[in-house]
Amino acid sequence: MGLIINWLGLLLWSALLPAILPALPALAEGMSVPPALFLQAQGKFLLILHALMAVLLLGSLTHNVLISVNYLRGKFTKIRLEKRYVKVGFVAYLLTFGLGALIYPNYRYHVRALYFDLKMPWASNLFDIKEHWAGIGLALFAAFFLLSRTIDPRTDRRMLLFYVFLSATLAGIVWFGVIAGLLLVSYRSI
Amino acid sequence: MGKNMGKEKTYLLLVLSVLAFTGSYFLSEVFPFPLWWYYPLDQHWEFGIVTSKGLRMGWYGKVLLSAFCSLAVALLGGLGLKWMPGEPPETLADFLTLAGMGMTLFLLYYIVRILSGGA
Repeated sequence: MGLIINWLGLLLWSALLPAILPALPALAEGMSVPPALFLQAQGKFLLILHALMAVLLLGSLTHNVLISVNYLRGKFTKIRLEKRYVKVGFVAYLLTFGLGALIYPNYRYHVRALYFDLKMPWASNLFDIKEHWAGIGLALFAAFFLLSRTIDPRTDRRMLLFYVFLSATLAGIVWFGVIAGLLLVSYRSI
Repeated sequence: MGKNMGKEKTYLLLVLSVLAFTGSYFLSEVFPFPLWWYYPLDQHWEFGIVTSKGLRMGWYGKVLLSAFCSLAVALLGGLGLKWMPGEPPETLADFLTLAGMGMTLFLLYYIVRILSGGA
């Protein structure tokens, strides 16, 4: 009985093989091999660093804007501290921005293309706003940092409006970026 | 910065560079500009307005283009101000300050508007 079953199995395979063999390359092509993206393996580690730098950035910029707004009211008590926050904030911005730019390709495919674009288009748009604002913020922060090294708030009153404007706008950009980033990560991450 | 140039001139250059960055960023959103495009799946770059099909990212190129425009304007402005006798007129600085702040706020608003389906 066992021998008969074996023979039947062999017959069946010999009948099916000619049909299966030509289809094998097509099957292999159809199988989805996940593409290797830039720094994909280090993605989660870089994302955590990106988030930690963002926390440092948020703290330094929030403190900075709270002090610099007082300049417009004629209070110049914490100038050195305010300028220190600008330095810390600028370094934190460059690191946050750089790390974000490194993990962006990974996000673009694994999160946005495979998930957000299909199921949550509003999340793709929210990320795009964050991304554009961060790019604009880079130029604003470079100007803010250089202005901070030039200006003396006690004497250069005519430059104060632009200086405080940069501080407040950057704080707004960073607050928005952190909240949007946390919200998006709560739905899907790299 | 600022050692060989008066504070007012340095300030004017910084305002000009912000204006150039935000202005060029806005223009690259509205008009087709040749940009560097990154293809994450193939890990390669292409430059141009019309490039290959596929998953591509234009944000890097847009930031690079705007940074280049900003630096170019700051450089040209710096050369112009170097030969300008005395400090620049206050009205010019005030006008550029308002323009820089206005353009920045407008660009931030414009991006939210187009990405929330308002345009």
